[in-house]
Amino acid sequence: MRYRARALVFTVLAVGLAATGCTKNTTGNQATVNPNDAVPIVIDTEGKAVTPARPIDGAKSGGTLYWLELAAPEHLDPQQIYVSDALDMEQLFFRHLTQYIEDPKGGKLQLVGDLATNTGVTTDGGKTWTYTLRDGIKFEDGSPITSKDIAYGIARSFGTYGEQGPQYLQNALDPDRKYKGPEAGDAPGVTTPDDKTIKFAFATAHPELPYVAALPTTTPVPKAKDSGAKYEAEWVASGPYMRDGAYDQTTKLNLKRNPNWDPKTDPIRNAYPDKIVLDFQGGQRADQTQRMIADQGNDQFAVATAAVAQAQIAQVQGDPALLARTGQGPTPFVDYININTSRVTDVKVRQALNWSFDRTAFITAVGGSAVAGPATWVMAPIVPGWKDYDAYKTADGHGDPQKAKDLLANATPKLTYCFANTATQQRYAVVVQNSLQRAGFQITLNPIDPSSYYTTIGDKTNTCDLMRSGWGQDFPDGQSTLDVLLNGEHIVPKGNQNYSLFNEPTINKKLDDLNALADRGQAAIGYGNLDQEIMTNYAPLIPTYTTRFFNLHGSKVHTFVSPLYAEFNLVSAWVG
Amino acid sequence: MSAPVPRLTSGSDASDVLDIASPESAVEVATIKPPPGAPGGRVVGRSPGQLAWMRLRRDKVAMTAMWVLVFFLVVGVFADIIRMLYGYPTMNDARQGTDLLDGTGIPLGYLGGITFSSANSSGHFHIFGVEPSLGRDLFIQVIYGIRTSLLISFVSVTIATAFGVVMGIAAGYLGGWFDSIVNWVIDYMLAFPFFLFALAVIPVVNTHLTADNGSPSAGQRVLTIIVIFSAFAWMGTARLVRGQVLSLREREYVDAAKAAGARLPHMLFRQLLPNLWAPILVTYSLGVPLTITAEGALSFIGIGVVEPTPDLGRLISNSQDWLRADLPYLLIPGVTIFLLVLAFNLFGDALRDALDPKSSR
Repeated sequence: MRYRARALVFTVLAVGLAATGCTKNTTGNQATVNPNDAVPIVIDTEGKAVTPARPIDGAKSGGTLYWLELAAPEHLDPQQIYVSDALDMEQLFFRHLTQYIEDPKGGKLQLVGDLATNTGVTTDGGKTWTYTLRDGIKFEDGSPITSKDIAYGIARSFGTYGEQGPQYLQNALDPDRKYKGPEAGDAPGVTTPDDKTIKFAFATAHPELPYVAALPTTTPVPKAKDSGAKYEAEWVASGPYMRDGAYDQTTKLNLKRNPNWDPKTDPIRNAYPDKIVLDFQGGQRADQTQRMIADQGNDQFAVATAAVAQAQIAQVQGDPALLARTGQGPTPFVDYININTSRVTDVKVRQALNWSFDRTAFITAVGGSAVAGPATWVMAPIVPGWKDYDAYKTADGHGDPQKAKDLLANATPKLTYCFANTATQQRYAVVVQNSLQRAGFQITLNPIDPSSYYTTIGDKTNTCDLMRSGWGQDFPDGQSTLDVLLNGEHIVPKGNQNYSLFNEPTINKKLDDLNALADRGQAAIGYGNLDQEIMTNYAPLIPTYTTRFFNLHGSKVHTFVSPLYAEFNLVSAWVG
Repeated sequence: MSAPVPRLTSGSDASDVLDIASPESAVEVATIKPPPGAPGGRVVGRSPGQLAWMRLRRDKVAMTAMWVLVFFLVVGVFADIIRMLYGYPTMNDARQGTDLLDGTGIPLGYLGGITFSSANSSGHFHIFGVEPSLGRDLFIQVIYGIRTSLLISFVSVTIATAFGVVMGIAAGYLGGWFDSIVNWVIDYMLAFPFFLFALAVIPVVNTHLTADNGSPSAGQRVLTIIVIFSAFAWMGTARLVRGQVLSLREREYVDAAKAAGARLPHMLFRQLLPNLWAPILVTYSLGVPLTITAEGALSFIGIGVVEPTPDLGRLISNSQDWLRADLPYLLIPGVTIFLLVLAFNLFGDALRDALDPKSSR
């Protein structure tokens, strides 16, 4: 028994070595580089969107679709949803005033009226808006959805059950945030003259309202069914699917068809599968990759939410059958190393940091061009108006330490680099440290506990010189990136998102002017140019990489990558 | 009445038994014929330590383990010199090492990038290969990892043993209320689940121990780990020593010393302690591998030392993501830590057998 076990162990090791280490790894396993591409947006102001939703070629109704995720989303209460995976799945059971139609062929995004007939009517440049609701819209229990339900949902978003969600609409309606929720009456600026009309009135012009209304802040909530904290599990569906059984908020959410959803009122959702299972115990990134590669049983009908594990990227790329089952494409996310401009005040030092940073080595550490594209700009490529430039261009992307040394005049500044203390971030931190030390910087690594990381760096008084963060836009407009990250007027003592504490009055004014422009197409061009100006003249951060989507799905799933949420699109997916 | 004086009768001849010189010469000491096989023809008395060393030398497994340990100690102590001989300027230098990886972060070449020529983009050979995704030389990481493990374990076990010995001797000798208290404390500490406690306490301590840039330095992290290990490793030694002292204190030399007026410290450290060194040495040499494994486990789950301090446990933890693509990344640190712990365990067992041969029967 002992000897057999020993022999078995050695055999396994030998086989393992032979299978992995003893084959020569060559550079043949390179990723095919997809160019970063911006997706333009068409806004349907006149309500021309076609209902029911345009069909997908070859799609079949029926079957069960599975969604594998490592953990349940923190919130499914509509006014509390703010994370990209929840934003992708909530379209299955929630509707809002407006929503996007995504094109499976990667064409233009369309912003259309969802519960509303169009994306809103304004006659005074964005100070007042009017939305008319469609006919025949109902909740899952058959009761009609009225403008009062939407107004109640918006009122709710001001209170405790809207704290974690996006705050754009609330800040626009009530800049001083005096209104605290439905107990204090109706929300300021929101009126409902009749059951089919809802009007918004703002103190200043807000031309971006159609985008903001596409967030689940405007999901209708029936007042009688609002159970406060329990609404996380007891929400009332307005979309094509409803809860099938109870939702325990931890393990899985089963969805079945909502008989009271009328496809003729919905220009967006195809709703092909009969049932959907959202499995929140789908496993870690490595587990999900293994399951998708194995493609057994119900996994053939599943989509993975985690990217292909780094060790298996080469394997998937080398196998045409596996590659055919991947979703690839750009995501809204860009990672930065923010430079604390209140501590690193000399712009030459910041520019030296940008020159010295070895982006190519960093991308390899992240996993290569399959999962990360080099980022040399602040806005992600899918943001309208994105301009491709590199203010610190080197031929191979390895940085130019000599130029950095010249800018520093041979000084050796001591800086700390803060990051969340996870194994992956520790690895990346070593690359950052090595690449900056080539130019003479002395970098001290400062790992911070992950559960309090964003709270720590969001405190204006933190003592980090460099800190890593990531950002994905909340809606497809340059305002949702540049204005949030680089407008000095939005710096707050706690919960700050302008991590580089960048506060340049001329830039603040330019941003405010762009925010107020009624023509968003014009504004987009302006944001692109401003991005380049900020990085070239002020260098408040080092952009590192933009995440590229590279996930697997089962062999019987037919879907595409949602450019907005960096997950597989569920509303137009079909199985079979 | 006095005993009769034996006297030789005049008729007998004792010369064939004893070489007694004739009464005219001075009395000579009888020489004893040496037993066959004794070296040099002289019998020399040996101390218990020398006897133990002789027994140890005869045990081939123990000598192999000892040389392995000496090798690891040399590597750990002289890590910087080895690195300079190897040709690396600093510990974490990646030296464009990412060019040694393919597009997705897996090392090029055989067995995780093992190469003996410097004709590559880092300009250096890599006898253990390179780390995936970073391109750092694995040999340097392993030798500094050995140093981290040895440093932390030796310091913790030394402190724990010293404290345990003092507690054990005092409790065993004094008895009474002091003994009861120490026993109670030992039981209480033994009941604590060590890993859960470490998992809970170390992050909290790190949060409090902030340097002026908001997180503990490498030295502070190492100190925290040493303190936690020392606090949980002394109980075994204390109990063992206390048991030995309970029997030793009944010996006559203890009474003699007390009668001569010896004070307490003298009793504990000059009378009792020298007789306890055997079990202390054994628990010490068996405690070190336990601490090495525990330190590796703490780093594996992420609460031990962090980058840029190299660590074998963290190397193994990182290698999990790369099992299918780069197995040597797991095997090399894994085999290193395995050999280190195995050598210590074998040596400690052999030491116990050598110091107390009765225990093996």
